Amino acid sequence: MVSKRKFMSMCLIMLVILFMFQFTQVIKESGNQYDVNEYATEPVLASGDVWRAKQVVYPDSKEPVDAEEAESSEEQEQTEAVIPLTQEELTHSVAFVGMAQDVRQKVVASWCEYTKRNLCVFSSLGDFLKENISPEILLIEAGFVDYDKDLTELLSRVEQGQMVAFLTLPSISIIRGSEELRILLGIDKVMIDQVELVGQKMFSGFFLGGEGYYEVHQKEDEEKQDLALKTPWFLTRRGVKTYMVGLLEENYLAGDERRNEKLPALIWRSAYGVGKVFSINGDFMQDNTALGILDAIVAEAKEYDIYPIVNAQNISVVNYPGFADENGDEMQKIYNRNLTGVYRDIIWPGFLAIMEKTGMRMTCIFGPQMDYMDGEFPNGRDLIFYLKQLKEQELEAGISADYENAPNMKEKCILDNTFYRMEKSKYIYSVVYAKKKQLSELEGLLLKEDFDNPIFDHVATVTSEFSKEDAVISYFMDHQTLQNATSDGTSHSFSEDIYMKSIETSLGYSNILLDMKRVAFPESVEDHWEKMSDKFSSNIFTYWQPFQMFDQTTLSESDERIRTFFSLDYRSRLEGKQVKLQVSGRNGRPAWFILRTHEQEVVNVMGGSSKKIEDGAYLIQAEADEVNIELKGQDSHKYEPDEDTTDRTIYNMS
Amino acid sequence: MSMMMSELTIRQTVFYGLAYLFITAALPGFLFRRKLQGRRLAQKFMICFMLGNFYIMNLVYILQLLHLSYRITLILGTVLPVVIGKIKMDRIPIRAMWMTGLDNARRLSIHTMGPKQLWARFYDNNKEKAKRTLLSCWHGIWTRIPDWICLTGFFLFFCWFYGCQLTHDYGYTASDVPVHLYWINEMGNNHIFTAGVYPFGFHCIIYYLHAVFRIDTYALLRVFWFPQTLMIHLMLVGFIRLCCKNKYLCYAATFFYVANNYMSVHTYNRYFATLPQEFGMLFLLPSIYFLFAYFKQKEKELKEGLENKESRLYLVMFAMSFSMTLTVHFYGTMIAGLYCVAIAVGFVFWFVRPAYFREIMVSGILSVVVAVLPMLIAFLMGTPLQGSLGWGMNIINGSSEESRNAKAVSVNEESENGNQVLEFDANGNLVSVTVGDEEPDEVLKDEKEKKPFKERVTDAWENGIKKEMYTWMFNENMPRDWYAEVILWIIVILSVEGILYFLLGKRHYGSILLSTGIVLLILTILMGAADIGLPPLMEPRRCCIYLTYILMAGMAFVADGFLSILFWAKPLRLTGNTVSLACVVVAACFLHDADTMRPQIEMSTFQTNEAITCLTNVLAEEKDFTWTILSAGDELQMGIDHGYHYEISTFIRKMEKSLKNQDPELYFPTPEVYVYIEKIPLDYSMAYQGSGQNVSIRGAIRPIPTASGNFVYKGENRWILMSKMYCWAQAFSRLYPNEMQVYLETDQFVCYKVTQNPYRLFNFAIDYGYNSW
Repeated sequence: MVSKRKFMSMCLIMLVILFMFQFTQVIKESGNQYDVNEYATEPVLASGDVWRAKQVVYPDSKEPVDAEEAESSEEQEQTEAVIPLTQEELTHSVAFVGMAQDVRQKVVASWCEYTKRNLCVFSSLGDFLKENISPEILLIEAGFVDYDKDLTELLSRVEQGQMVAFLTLPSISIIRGSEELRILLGIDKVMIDQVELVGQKMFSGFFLGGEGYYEVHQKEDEEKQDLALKTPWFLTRRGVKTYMVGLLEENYLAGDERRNEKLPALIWRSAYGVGKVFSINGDFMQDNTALGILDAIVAEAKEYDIYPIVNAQNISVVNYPGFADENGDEMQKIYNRNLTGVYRDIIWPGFLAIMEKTGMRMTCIFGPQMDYMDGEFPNGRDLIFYLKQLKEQELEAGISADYENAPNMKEKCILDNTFYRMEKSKYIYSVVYAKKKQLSELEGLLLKEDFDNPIFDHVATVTSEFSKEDAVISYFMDHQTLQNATSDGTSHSFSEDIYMKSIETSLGYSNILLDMKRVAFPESVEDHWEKMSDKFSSNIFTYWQPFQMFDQTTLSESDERIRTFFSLDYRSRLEGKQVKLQVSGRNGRPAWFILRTHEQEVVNVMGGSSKKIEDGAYLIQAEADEVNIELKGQDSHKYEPDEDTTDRTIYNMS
Repeated sequence: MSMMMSELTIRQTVFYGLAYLFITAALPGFLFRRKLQGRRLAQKFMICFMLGNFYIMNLVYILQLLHLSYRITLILGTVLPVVIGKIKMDRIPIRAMWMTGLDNARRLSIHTMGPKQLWARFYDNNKEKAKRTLLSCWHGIWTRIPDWICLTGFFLFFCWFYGCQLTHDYGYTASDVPVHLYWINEMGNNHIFTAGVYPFGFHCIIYYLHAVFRIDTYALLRVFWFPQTLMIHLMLVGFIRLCCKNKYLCYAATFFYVANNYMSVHTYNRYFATLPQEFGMLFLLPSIYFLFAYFKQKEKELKEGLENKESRLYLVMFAMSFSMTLTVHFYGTMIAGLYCVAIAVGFVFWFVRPAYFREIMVSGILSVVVAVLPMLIAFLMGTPLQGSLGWGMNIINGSSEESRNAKAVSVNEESENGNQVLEFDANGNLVSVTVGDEEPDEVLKDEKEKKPFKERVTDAWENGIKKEMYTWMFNENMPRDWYAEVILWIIVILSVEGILYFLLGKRHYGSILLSTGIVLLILTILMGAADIGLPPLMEPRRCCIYLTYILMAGMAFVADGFLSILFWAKPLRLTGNTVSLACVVVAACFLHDADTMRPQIEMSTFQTNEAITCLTNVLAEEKDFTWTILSAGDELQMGIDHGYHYEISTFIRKMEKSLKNQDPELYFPTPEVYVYIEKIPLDYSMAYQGSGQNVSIRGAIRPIPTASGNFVYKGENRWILMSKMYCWAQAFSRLYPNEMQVYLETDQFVCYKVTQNPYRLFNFAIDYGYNSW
């Protein structure tokens, strides 16, 4: 029998417990301003604020421009472009010898924009040599060199300290036939004109993220091998440092104890006099992979190197979540749930677990509906659920301009707008996703040419598909930035790994874009969530691990950093053991740099802070316009010798 | 946070010294605490120290010969006998203790007793013991305040004088230390007598400290000389204290020994190196003391009909100490043997008696057998004798030129006029040329034989002994015309005092004085043995070290004998002690003068401070076997347990050879390569005309020295090699400016650090512009 007193006590305790649990939930619910996007800020900087690299295109001297022809607008443009750089501008400039407007020149131009260097474009090495200018680095496409005429002069320039990089190598016959060229390139001899590699290996210290070993050992890795495996086999000379080699089958050089040193070199550096010559034996310079390579080359050639980066790591999950139960039969068949159920019950907990483990932050690009013709309509309850969830997890929402089946983007946007208006959502969407082919259509919508769509009013950044060729980050329109994906999340081939490391090295940026439309409208088993999730999580846990020191951002945060990155300019110099960095154009915002020091440690940073990325590489956050970075000197050892100040007679025991 | 090398060196010295004393004195003291009760402190210390050293040396010897010498066996070999011995000797109820311990653990586990209660029990059980120990310590301090003051004063002066070298010069001061280092390192692989049979007692001790305490051998050899020298001085203090009747003369004599400026630097400069000969001195005076003590005790036992337990103990201790002198270095044994001969004369009335004679001879023979046995076993097992033993025998036989005159070198050349003798001084300068058909030695010999005995004795004294003494023993900067005669006077006074005390009935004491006088006479003659036609058992420059050491005891005995006669009566003994204390003060005041007090000296080293600093940093900062040091020879053995080494002479020869053969490959398979270059090359035990010059292109263009062994690093050869290496480094750093960083640079030295990819090594063979081809 329970006494009244005991009964009262029990009730009281139950009430207290009930209150305690409900109270936290009530507070959480009432305090969750899910309808406010705290990351959406009015951008201060626009494309007009971008620091523009000076690009000077020198005319081809071999084919003098005809006076009459020069009247044509194209020639006029070219002639007008030749306004030589000042001496000050030349100290921070790059000379490119190669075909103007070809893919390599475009990449080099992008790199110059990113690293705030001016660019001089020459159509032949002879033209460059005639100009008698000393750029920071001379980038040469091998096909634009007259090896009989220009080599001696080039050797002399290198001997005096000119830094050179051969973006492509001359043909084997030219290399074989010229001792001078071999000396310049650091090639001892050509072993085989073309050798079949089994893989490639990039040594640590070149790209950030450590060593890369690109050889297939297991059957599952076969799909990853997409590197060019046929290459000339060069043996390098003494004084050469190699950054990347090709891997051979074991029967090559079997038993040779110097086998490692004789593996085919793919990227290497030779020295001639005071200058350095970098050679790239492969097709690495044809896309954005070149960005990181060029940064690594400059860092390797100089005593130290500091360059600006974005410092943003993003995950964009596009077309997720969807609010309409589309493709119901297929979903029932695969997951025994409707689509919204799959998104909410299966996928969302999975994402949360990944975010929790990696610390990465996701931007969910809502796709209320994919198929606008199937009669299924989006459900507003899910919108509020996800907005609340995103708020709690400190994530961001964006809108997708992509669709599976709709008359056009404009129609889709009208319907989406109606949905958001009906749900009375005040959330400000500053991120929008569109496929490459949809970008021009999106541009029209953003310009509000014939349609005023309020949900696009605050769009600050556009994200798009993964492409190695298009600029990683740029201004899409005057007020909108474009952040292209750097990975599709589920595939990570060897070349993609090199690409990812290169972009991280160059920009400290990544944008893993996972398109969830594949889950809603699967085309193969590979599109099933369990498969995609497996690949996505294992890729993130494995390949992005070395870049954890970069900031994890949402796309809006990343956008703000990109704007600052584009607008800033900088100069640096080394004084003793201090790197003096002068930053301008950061508009009071922090700016980030990568400092590469060749094993020297950063001891102190004044005007900012530093984080070690790996040995010899530091992430510098500049919070002032003048930043002093103190490096550890040679006198900073664990044990220091004493100064002998005593005046004693010296005796010898013998 | 970085630490100054001097601070590190001081820490190392203190730690290594304490580790050595812990093993050789504290552990035996702990084990034999009860047995040693009632003895004088100095005697206790000597017994423990001898036991400890003897045990460790022989433990290492046995384990090495059995190829079982490892850290664990050495620790077990040390700890087990102590534990078992302690249980047996002190009759510790180990079973009861075990049960109590178990009970305590059980009660702790079931919470019927807390840690506080356990502590209270332990405190109650040991309170009285701790109190007694503290009181005893306090008593030891309180009743010996003058002793502690004197010891502290001596210690401070010792630290000032010797510590200066320790904290300012980090390298080895003797050229043979790297050889000993190599032998000790090989013991790590159970390869004792790696270069042939040699007295390894010193090496056993250093190896033991290295293996058990995980101390780097190179660091031990760098600083161990300090505690070793301190112990040599303390042994002198103990010896005089135990032999003299007046308490404080030991401090006066030892202070005079360490502080006087009358003695030449040759009498103490070897103390600045960790060498076996000096280590052997630790056992010299104790062996003599135990023999003195034996005679006294034996006489007492025979007179009073007591058991001969105590005298046996002294005899055993004598045997152990004497054995250790031989186990460590032959020269120590030689001096101890000569002292024993002097004792045989001084104590002749006891010595010839069968009761004494038999025991002494048996113990003497046993001590030699114990010392020689490990060497004999190794020799019988096929290990040849080490080269320096042959050299030592030559010295004794007088067949070495060096023994005739260590400073001068004679070269015989056949010329048209007959035999031509060229004499050079130590710097290689031609001093004299003698031409003649007759052998010069023969001429001198004939002349000597023609002289009358008295004239020959005077000549031997003036041109032989005295000359050697002034060359080696006395400071040339002091007015020293009469110093040699002082030694003679000390010998005479000691002999007179000895006879006087003998006649006064203090026969034992008198014999001590007499024996000391005799040994001083023998050593004085030994100084000039080569010049007076006697077998030169020892070079004068080594003999003077022992002579000075024993002379201090002799001087103390002279004063003691005088004071003891003056204050003969028992009531006056306190006055005698007071006067002896005054002697310390007088010695301190007398030596306070700038001329008479020994100034701090600096011994030239065979490694630069920078090289040692770099090595210390490399060992501290780098993982083992991830680095290679490219330097002149010495770092090979210094870092052998942690990394790799490559000699610059081999490097340059191989590089040039490989370039000639058009096969330019020279790789170091470690991620880090450190290159040591002396910008002003050291005079590595050999000066040359251009000593002290900087490395230069003039040196780099010279052909590669062809000398073998470490002669390639001596004199001008070193300058040529360093010049070549410097030019190579400049060329290599142009090729790899970021990969080759300056690690440490001063005006004299530069260390480069090359960081390379171990999977794609740099080819270090480059054409640096000064290749010989």
